[in-house]
Amino acid sequence: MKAEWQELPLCRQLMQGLYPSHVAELSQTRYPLQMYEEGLKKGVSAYDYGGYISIPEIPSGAGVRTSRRPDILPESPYLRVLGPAGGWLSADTLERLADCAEKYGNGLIHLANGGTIELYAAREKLVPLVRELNSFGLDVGSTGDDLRCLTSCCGPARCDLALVDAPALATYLGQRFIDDQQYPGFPQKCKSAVAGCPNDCIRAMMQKDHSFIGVFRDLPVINNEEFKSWLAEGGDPERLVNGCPEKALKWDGHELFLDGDTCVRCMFCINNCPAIRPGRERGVAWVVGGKYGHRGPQGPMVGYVLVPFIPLTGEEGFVYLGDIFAAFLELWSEHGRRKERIGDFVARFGPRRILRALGLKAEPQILLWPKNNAFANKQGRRGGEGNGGN
Amino acid sequence: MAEIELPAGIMPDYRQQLPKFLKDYAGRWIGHAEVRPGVLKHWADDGQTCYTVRILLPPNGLLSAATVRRLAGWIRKYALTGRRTCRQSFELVGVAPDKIEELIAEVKASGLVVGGTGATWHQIKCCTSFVHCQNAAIDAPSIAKVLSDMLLALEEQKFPAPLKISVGGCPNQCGGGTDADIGITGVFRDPPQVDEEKLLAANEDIGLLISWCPTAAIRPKPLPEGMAVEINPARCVRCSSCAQVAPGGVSMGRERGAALSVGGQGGNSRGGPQMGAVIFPFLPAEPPDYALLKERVHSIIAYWLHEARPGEKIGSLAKRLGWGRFLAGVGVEDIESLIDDYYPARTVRRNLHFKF
Repeated sequence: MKAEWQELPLCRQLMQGLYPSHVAELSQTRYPLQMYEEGLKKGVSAYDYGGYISIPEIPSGAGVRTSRRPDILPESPYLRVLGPAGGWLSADTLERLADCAEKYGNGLIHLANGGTIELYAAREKLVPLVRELNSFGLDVGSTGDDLRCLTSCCGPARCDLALVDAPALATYLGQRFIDDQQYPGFPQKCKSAVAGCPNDCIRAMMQKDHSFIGVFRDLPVINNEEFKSWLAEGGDPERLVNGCPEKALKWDGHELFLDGDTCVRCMFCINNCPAIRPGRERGVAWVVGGKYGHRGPQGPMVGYVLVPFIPLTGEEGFVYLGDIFAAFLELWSEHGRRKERIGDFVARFGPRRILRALGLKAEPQILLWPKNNAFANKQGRRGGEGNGGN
Repeated sequence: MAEIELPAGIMPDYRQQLPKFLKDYAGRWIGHAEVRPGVLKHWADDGQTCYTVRILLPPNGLLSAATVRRLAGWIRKYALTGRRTCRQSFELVGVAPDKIEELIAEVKASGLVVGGTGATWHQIKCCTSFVHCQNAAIDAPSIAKVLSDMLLALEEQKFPAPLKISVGGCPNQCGGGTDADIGITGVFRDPPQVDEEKLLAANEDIGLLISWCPTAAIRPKPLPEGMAVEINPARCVRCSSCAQVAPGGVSMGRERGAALSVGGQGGNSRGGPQMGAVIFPFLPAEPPDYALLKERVHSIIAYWLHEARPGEKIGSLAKRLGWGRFLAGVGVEDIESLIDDYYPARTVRRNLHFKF
């Protein structure tokens, strides 16, 4: 159903301009542009609440938006495809996705923000579409109150800063918890990611309810030979030294020194000088509770660091991290209130009780400062630590 | 008894997307640099290199099959594989260095943009809004489009530091906002409306509706036909939780606009993750020009370009100057509306360290 362009003045205007236009993309598909025009014109989306739907073979991963303008489009079902970790997409996969979008759907491929890929197709096409996706190693999930698509940064395959193999860990967790990605059964959604280093390019600490983030425990390593060649190429030592947030670097005109007691391992110097490399003692920090959303008592928030360092050398360490994740998901399933995001759960239930329930030690690094009051610590309603709501 | 085979789910294996070269060199890269706008070079311990060309995609990563095939074609012709970034741009990884010129020319000819690396503006991240979502207060993709047009036309493309802009269409911020140097978030000004008849007919979970309001603004309202609710507009903070819980009976108000925040940072480098500070709580967002919004964003960027020291992001500039001076510099007059009413203790000073 293609509308005439004169009926779409706002869409037409959005086709103009220097930057590539999403409307131009939409116009090359069977997406009904009248729906978008209607939203822009009225200031209210032409789509209405639908929801996530379960159909045989697809318990989660399919949704439908209902329509405020059924005369243009009665409803818009869609599939959420779990994206490969690290965002890696080969030419083969892209072409097969394009084929799928055209063969079953409206020809639109949406690289959605959560790390999934959305395709839009009629209800009766969803099962055959999923079967075809399966044939080249993709599957659907990540809708409703389930574990959302496990995502990660690009990892060591391309990045020199990756401290842990983020896509490998994300893929391990995704495989281990595939049922939770495909069967909604939690109090609320749980977004989860693995970032390779504290730069956290994927913003896991802010966007994700649960994340493991690569960290190093020893100190940045300075190679003074390489530092000299960096200087010779025009590197600015003053800017490097002044940029360090803790003023842990010293430059005496010949050599660069690091005060190890002051350094917080923030990555600033490593990012800005190739002669400084991350330390070798590597692992992950466990962070829970990040969210962008304003829903829930705390609104948007950065996640809480519950464990500062869990050593991780190779894939053998993935199992233990998965065990922590599993235990935490179970705790939250049992004690989380309906629609309570993990960040709000942690604040209400108490970080201390979570650590206790999971048998984890409270490390000094997780404290910004000790508490400023002498109130007794909270206990569960039934008196036991980590049991019962409060 | 025959075994029952349940359909097993598949977590996609990212390794299938990687060429042998990147698998072999995993963990061996020791440095990287931006060699020109949009082009990154990584080098390995043995001197091997890997070039990446970053392509800015149309807003929201909405791609036609034709564009996706074009990306695949460029991978086949010039690179080893591709990846979508978490800012909705696309990277061609493993580009042969002698083909970079040709590739960039081809990308430009197709209407896409090569860029978004280092100290310049990166792809504007946004949610899908009116294209396919019911919650949106404003349309993020068209705002991203209009702002990208503006940024692309700037004469100076070299900035003091990276500039990341995120646009979320509603307070749920699927497109981000709080994480960005400049964040735009769709907001509702008037309180949500309850349609009692529809609410009763929809048989929504009234208990959840009441308990999930973060400010206890929703109270039960017994009617002869059943239990409805009423919303106290003075308590309501327009978070839109109620409209999500009971879409059948509660709808968000019609007066909609954009909140503009600055100084968000996601990474741990320097000061660590910092949530954006809202400096314009409500700006009109009128499609398709978004004139006022565009003007505000432009003046913030202009002020930053003028005042910042090399490497200084918008948030660190505000911190160095002091928020008072920064707010005056970008034309914020209404200070009262920037005080956090929701967590009153959070934004008001509790020491006597002033800058005047």
